[in-house]
This record gives sequence, structure tokens and C-alpha cells, in this order.
Amino acid sequence: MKIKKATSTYIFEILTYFILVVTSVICVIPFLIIISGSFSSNESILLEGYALIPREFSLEGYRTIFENAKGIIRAYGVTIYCTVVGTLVGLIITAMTGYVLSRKEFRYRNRISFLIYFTTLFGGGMVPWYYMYSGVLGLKGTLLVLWLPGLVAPFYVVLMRTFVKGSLPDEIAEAAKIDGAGQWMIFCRIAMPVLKPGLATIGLFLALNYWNDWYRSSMFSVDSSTWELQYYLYNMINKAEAAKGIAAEAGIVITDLPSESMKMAMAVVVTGPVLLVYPFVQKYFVSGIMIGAVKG
Amino acid sequence: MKKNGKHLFIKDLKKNWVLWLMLMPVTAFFLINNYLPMVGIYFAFTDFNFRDGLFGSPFVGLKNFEFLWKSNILWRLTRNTILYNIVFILLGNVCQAFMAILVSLLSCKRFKKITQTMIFMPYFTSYVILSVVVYNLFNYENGLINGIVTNMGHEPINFYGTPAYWPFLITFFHIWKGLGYGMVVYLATILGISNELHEAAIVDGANILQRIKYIIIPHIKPTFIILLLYAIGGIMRGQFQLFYQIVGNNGLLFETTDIIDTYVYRVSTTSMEFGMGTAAGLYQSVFGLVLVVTVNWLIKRKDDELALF
Amino acid sequence: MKGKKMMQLKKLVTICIAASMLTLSFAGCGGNENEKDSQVSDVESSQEGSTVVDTSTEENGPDLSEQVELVFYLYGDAPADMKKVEDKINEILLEKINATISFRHTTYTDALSKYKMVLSSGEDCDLIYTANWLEYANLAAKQAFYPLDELLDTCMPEVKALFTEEVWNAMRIDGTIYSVPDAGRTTYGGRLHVWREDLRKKYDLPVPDTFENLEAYLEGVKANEPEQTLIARNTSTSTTSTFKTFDGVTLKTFYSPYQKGYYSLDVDYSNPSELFDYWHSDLFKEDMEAMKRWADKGFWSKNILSHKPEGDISNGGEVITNCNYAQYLTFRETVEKEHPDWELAYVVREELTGVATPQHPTTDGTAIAFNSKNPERAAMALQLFMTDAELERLLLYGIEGEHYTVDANGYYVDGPQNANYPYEGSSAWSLKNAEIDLIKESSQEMYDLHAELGEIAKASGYPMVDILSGFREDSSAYSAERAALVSVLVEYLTPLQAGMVEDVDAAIEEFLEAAETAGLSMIQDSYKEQWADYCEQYGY
Repeated sequence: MKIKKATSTYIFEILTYFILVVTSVICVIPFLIIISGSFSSNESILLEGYALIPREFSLEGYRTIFENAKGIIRAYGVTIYCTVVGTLVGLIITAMTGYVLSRKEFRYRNRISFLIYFTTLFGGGMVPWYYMYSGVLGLKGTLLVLWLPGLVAPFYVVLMRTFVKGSLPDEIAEAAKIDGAGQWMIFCRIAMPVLKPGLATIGLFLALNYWNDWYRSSMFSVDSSTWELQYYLYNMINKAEAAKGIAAEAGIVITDLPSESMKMAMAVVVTGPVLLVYPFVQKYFVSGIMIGAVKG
Repeated sequence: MKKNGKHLFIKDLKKNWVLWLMLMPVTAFFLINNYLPMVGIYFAFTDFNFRDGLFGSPFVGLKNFEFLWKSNILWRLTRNTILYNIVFILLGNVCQAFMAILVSLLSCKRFKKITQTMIFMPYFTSYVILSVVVYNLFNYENGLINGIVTNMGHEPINFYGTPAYWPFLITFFHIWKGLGYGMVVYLATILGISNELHEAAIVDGANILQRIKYIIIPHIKPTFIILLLYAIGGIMRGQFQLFYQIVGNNGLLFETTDIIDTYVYRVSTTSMEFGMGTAAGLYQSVFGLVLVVTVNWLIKRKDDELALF
Repeated sequence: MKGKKMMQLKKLVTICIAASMLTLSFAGCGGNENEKDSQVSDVESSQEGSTVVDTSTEENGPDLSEQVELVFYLYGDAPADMKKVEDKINEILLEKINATISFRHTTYTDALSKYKMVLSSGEDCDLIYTANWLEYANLAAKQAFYPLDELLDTCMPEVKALFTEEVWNAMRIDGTIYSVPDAGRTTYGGRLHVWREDLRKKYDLPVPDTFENLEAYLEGVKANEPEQTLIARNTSTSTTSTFKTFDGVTLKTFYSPYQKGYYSLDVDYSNPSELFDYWHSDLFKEDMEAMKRWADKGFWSKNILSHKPEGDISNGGEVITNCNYAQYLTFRETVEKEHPDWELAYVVREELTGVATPQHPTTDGTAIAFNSKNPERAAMALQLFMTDAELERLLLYGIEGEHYTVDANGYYVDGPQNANYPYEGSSAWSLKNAEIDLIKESSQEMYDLHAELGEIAKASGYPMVDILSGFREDSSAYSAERAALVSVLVEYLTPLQAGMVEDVDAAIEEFLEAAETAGLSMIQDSYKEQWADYCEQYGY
């Protein structure tokens, strides 16, 4: 009996490692292509395409980017600011909402959940949305409008509600209530601590969302002082695309176009920090149960 | 009945005022960000012009919807969109849950961290880069796959001219891209399982597979169902970037790769009709609403706690 | 459970009503009394007090007593020194018309949707750059711009005098002028076939001045350098739309005097009112067969429909390309720098076919937004930008001595700070005026070529406008069919044009059938009618 258990565990582990290694390798390849592209000479990319190892090594891409380091540093600043503020505020709002919507004694929870979910189904399109922030609230050109519209997403609310349901059993909340704790107290003292993995997850999603955002910069910026990092990259790529079109249609030539290797280098500069920070966030997802306990 | 409802509401407001207060920010948010701008839905029914504005422009009824069925491809578009989404939702969630279980059971912490980071990487790969990768793998002249095929003495395969391959390829790359992101949700759920439960199971002599079956899977089931339900409302919405970047304007592949969103995009690049895009969106929304309300109702009858709303 | 659905529904209805009431101001842009964004510019506040302005209203001129702030939307990215130049411009504008202006750039991302948003949301916007490739005609037809006919007489007489009545007519949409074209040097289409002359000489191949010679040239290169990509990114705009698709036929139609019209209704400028139905002709079949032949010979990749290659003729990505002269100049510059042993040569379509027409005036323009609060002042500012050399040059080239200098021959030369405000870096192309603007010495030969083409245009006896570009179809009667047709084109026509079909005849039949189902004949009939009216109106 004991031996059988050990073998099954053994086989299971080998299989697990095998599957994970294969998946990881498949997942990492495109990123290697980006990195290799950023170190390739532009012409080798244009003619021979991308490769895992640079066909012709060159630092040209990075050099051109950092010629205008000021712009990039400012964009970093904007993105970091939005990510930090937006994630914190968004996380608090989402947590509160998720908590309320999971309370059994709150009889309107399903109806409100529906109203929140409804927004994923129906939308009025960009124009009224833009008008709301730009015209009604007058936020065009501010930093506020870069993070305000991203604070809450129905998906995060629904997830949070599920997390609360899963990790805060009703009995505990009931018991606390009998002890005289109010809802706010239960939320702060009991729910928040057990929700750590959930909070980390939603926090991560919010942060990634802010980090990757370019759309709000594009819509609401008056000048480049409120450009987010992703927008910096995205607009650069668009410039190259647009230039081709205008040159063909109107005969107007736009100079100073980004090269392929420069775009790749920019992509590395944009995503690099996330990959550096991610392992620190990760500790919330990798602790807990361990297979090692079985082996004894 | 109406009075009763009102009465109950005030009673609840008094009783749960703290909870209501906690909902204030989110209410304000959705009002500003979503509900007020919803007036834009009216675009679908007007022949918009700038001078008269949204409500002053002539009302045209369902004219903006006509383009959807004029070309006789509405059926194909709807079929493709729904089939892709069903596969994306089901297979995607199964893969994510599966990977999360594997990662959660690993004993080597460092390996755990590294694989998790690596699996997350495709999320950061833009669709433009993805299309480059796909091209490098599958192109006719010097694609990696065709290199192998010709080395084995076969004729190269014309992937970009054969629609049959693409449902598989697109599904693969979609799941690949979302794997790390979705996995995090399941990992966090699994972490919610108390250690005692596992230890008790070990004492009882349960092996790994039994523990997965009897502890982990039941525990992630609610999350799984909620995520499925959540996604069902969007069953008519396609992953535009995924399809557009990989397939582009390659008409040869449309039979299996054309979805509502790519069709609407093609049309919108050539026409200024404000209403058409909104109209298509409305079609997708209504379809999704009906579906999600129905499925939610069915699930609710079985177990109230698993329902989305 | 009782009445839950009802309640939800009721709640929704209530919210919708509240929403519509709250955003009622949205309904009419004119009624929007929004205060302007306070954060926009502190330029004016710093100058308001210091400048003494002559506010006397001269004769019948507009009232200038109130200082106003204008907003000018431009395409593209703002140059780094935009603010600096803006300040200089404002000094002059304050003095001349008691107004300040702030420039906003759409950036290169989603410019068109930003246009639509700014124009439909009643946001501050007075002047705005227009172009036919930014849907000038559509936006104008949907009343996004302020009608200019009156303003031209009252506030912009000098601008009005810059152009002939013919040009103004070309700018009209539904009978009204909505935009002022640029007054730069006239260009005449000028499509080129550019090829690698060094390869041609090396293998002793014919000059590709006819379709047969082109084929021989390509075959010759293919035979001698099988690894070399021949044709890679020869995309063209489709016949009804702006989407790009690979279209080998553009290389063939290059040699034909026909102008590609919408819905395959091509135009022969010697007899413009007669439309030629290309898709139903034998020529179409012949062309498609030629494309199939080329594809089978491997002139382009089998994946061309999905792949967007980045290489071009200047770095060896292809050996022949169809482009205009401005593009040719950049290619040549790159080749001279990177591959001095290569050589490029070209033929000009207009010289081969004997048909040349000026580029259509709607290519560049400046409009006043419909919701401008100060259309008169905006018009005066526009006139100044187009006729006052100091202002025009400030906006187009920056500050003299800093961003640019002028050499002895009157050519533009990069200044020390050029990177912060490059040549035409503000994208204010629509304000060019050949009388006062500056060109670079390197583009002199381009204008020389266009002068030659102008001679061809005059000699050919055709009307001095691009007839086709001046025509604006009203597709409202068949917008649904049109949408369906566009989709059919991508699905059935592009594989034909790229020679990717098994059986050309069957594919043509299938394509025409699908197009018919989408409503091709109905569209064509309506289009022909409109075209006939158009030709009659202008006497083409």
C-alpha cells in the first residue's frame, strides 16, 4: 500500500514536471523573439524576419530609444503613478463591493450583481463615454482621467465575490456578528486578512491593466505630458503605419520613423519591469499547500 | 406588490446601511462610466449627423441593422463566433484549472515561481508579435513547420490557403495567450483550501489523484462555474485582435475564421455610418443577455450560491 | 422571486431616462455651454495683461473687441517645441486679431475616431485639418464643419482669391464649401514604377515600360536570383474602400489609361461620362489569369494575403514597386546611403499613358468645426496662417535661426534645433502657400517633375481636375448592400487579385455571384445614375 502510493506520487511528479517544462518553453519563445529582435539590426529583421538569436547583432534600437530618454522617463512616471494609485483605490472599492455582494443578509445582492454584470453586455460606445469624462466632468488632459475609468471592472467584482464566498465561511461572520462586530469591522478585521490571495489576484489584474493601458492616454491627452508608457510604444508603431499610408495617398513623407528593432526594444523596455516585479507579487500564489508533505 | 417592494427596500436600507454605504463608490462608478453613456445605444437607430446631434438626427428604425443580414453571411458569422467562444471558454478554463492544479502541487518553490512567470509571458506578447510568430511557424516558403514537413519528404502544406487548419491554430494560440492570466485565479482559489484538509486526507491515506478529485476539484468548482457563466454573456463577442492580426484580410480563410467583429471592422473601415457598429454591438448584446439570463436561471434552480446574479 | 424581473427592468428604464436627461446637452452641440477646460493653457493668462490690442472695429469688419481663444486640431504628433512656437504665434495673433490659439495634435493613433469624438461631443474646436484620407467628404456631408461660403467673402477674401472657382467647386460637398485647400505647389498624381536598375543591367533585361517587359524583367531576375523576393508589399486600396489588400493587378493597370473607379466602374478621362464595367469584362478575366500566372511563377509569396512584409525596395525587400515621387526620393536616399552599389530607375505612368490630372484639392484642407464658438475669428486666423509669411513659416518650420535657416537660393536648411521642430513637423500641410513657403533643395526635382506632368496635363486636353476624386457618391440608399459588398470583395476578389485561386474562371463566377447576392447591380445602377448627374453638372 505504502509503496503503491509512493510510485503514483513519483509518476505524477515526473509527469507534472514534464508538462510544465514543455508548456513553459512554448510560452517563453515569443518573448525571446522580441528580445532577440531588439538586439538585431533593423535590416536583418526586414529582410530575413525575426529569429531566436539575432542574425546581426546591433544596439541601434536601444540607442535610438534612449536618445529621447526624457520622454520615456516621464511616461514611466505617469504609468507608475496610475498603476499605484489606480490599483490601490480600485482594490479597496472592489473588495468592498465583493464583500457586500456576498453577504447573504443583503437581499439585493443578486439584483446589484446583475446591474454590474449588465454593463459587460451593453455599452453606449466610445462617443458618449468620451463625452462623459471630457465634456461633463471636464477631465481631459488631467492625470485623474487616466486611472479613474479603470478602477472597477465587473470581472474583478465577480471574482472578488467568489473569493469572499470561498474563504469567509458564513459561520465565522455570524459568530463575529453575535460578538457585536459591525459589518465594517467584519470586513476590515476578518474578511481582509483571509482574502489575501484574492486581493493579490485582483491587485495583480488591476495593476496589469493599468500598466498595459494606452487607450485612455490616447483619448484624453492634450499633450505628451500625460502619455502612458504603453501609449508611447503604441503611438510609435502607429506612426510608422500611418506614415506609409500618408506617403502613398497624399505624397507626404514623414521622417524619423521607428525601425523594427526599435519597436522591439521599446516592447522590452515596456514589459521588462513587470517581469522583474512579478516574482515578488508571486509569493502570494506559490505558498500554501505543498506536495512535499506527502512524501513522508 | 409594488408597495411591498418599496417597503422592503427601505427596511433593508435601515438595516444594512453600512453595506449600502460600502456600495456607494461602485454605484457612482458604474453610473458615470457605464449607465449614463448607455444613451449611445440610440446611435443604432439614427442616421447620425453632427449638427443635430444624437437625439436630433433622424430616426431610421432598423436600417442600421440591415447590413448584418444583407450579405447572407450572418449565419456563418454567428456560427463561427459562437463555436470559437464555446471552445475558448470551456477548453480555456479547463487548461487554466489543470495548470493551476499542477503548479500548486509542486514541491520545489523555485521551479514553481519560474514556470509560473514563464507561463504568464504570452500575456505580454502583443497580437502583432503573435502574428509574426505564427507566420514564422506556418508560412509556405520557409516556415518552421514546412521545413520539417519537407525534410520528411512531403510536399509543403499551404496553411495560409487552407481554412481547415485555422480553427485549431487560433484556438491553440488563444488558450496559450490566456493561460498564465487565468491560472492565477485558480491558483488563488486553491490556496484558499485550508492545510488541515489536505493533512487530514493524507492521514486517511488518500493519494495525490484522490486528493485532486475529492478536495481540489470540488473547491474550484464554484469559481469554474462563475467564470463560465461570466463568459457566456460575451459569447457573441469575438477576440477581434486575435483574428484580425493572425488572419488579416485573407479571404481564403474566412469560411472558418470570419467572426462578427472582423466583419464589422471590414465594414466600418469603408463607411462612416455611426450606427452600424452600434447596431452590430446591440445584436451581440441582446443575444448574450438572453443566453446568460437563461443559463443563470437554470443554475440558480439547482444551487443559488453558484449563480452569477 | 415575485416581480424581480419587473423591478430590474423598471430600474433599468429609470436609469436610462435619468441618463438621457442628464446628457441632454449632448443632443445639440450648439447648445452646449460648457466652460472651456481651464487647464489648457496658461499662455493667454500670462499675456492677457501685457498686450495692448487694437480693438477698433474697422469699417464693416467683424467685432474684435473680445479676446478669444481658438483651438486648432492638427493631425500627427506635436513636435517637441510646439509650445514655444505656439507662444510666438500667439504674440502675433493677439496683436492682429485679438485671439490666441492652442494647437492640439491627434497623434497618429486613432486620428479619425478622435476627429469624430471631438466633433460630436461639442468640445472646443475651431480649426481642424481635413484630408480626403481623413474622410473629409463624409464628415462634411454629416455636417461636422462650418459652411464657409459666406465666411470666405467676409473674413477670408485673400484666401478666396488664392484659388480658382474650379478648385472651390472641387471642395464643395453637397453644394457647400467646408474646407480651404492648401495653396502649395500643384502636384499631378505622378505614379511611378521603380525598379532595381542594377539588376536589370546585370542580367540584360528589358526596361519594364510595358506589362510584357515587366513580366520579362521579373522572370529574368527570378531566374538569376531565385532567393530574391520580387514583389512584397504592393498593396492597393480596394475599389470601394480604404482597406489595404495585396493587389498584383495594380502593376498591370499601371500601363492602362483607365482610372480605377468604384465598384469596378472605371473611367476613361477622354470620355468621362462613359463608365467601363471592369469586373464583367474580358479584360478582368485576362488580368486575373495574368495574376494567377505570376503567382504560379512565384513572383510573390503564397502567404502574401496574411503577411505584411516590412521590407521594401530600398533594403532589398522587393525589386519593383509602385509608388509616388516623394516615396521614390526616400527610397533613393536610403539606397544611396546603405547600398551605394545599387541603382534605382523609374517610369512615370502619366508619361506612358499621356493622362495626367492634378491631385485633388481635398487632399489637404483646413475646416472650421461646426461647433466653433468663434467661426469668424477662426476664419481670420486661417487667412493669416495662409497669407502672412511670418505666421505661415512659424507654424510650418518653427523659429528661424533655431529650427531652420534659409540659404542664398531661398531653400530651407535644417537649423541647429531642427529635431525639436522638423520641416513641416507640425503637420500643418494644409496651410502651405507656394508664394511664401519654403522647400528643401532636395525636393526641387520632384516639383520639376510635377511641372513636366503639368505640361502633359495641359496637352492632353482633359479637364484640369481629377474627375474621379471630385466625385462624392451618396451611398445612403445602399449602405447595407455596400457593406455586404465590401466583405465579398475581401473574401472573393483579393484571392483572385493575388492569383491564389485554383481555377480562375470558376473563381470569377463565384465572386460575381456573391457580389450579385450582396447587391452589386443595384449599387452599380445607383452609382451610374449619380455619376451621370455629376458629369452633366460639371460638363465632363
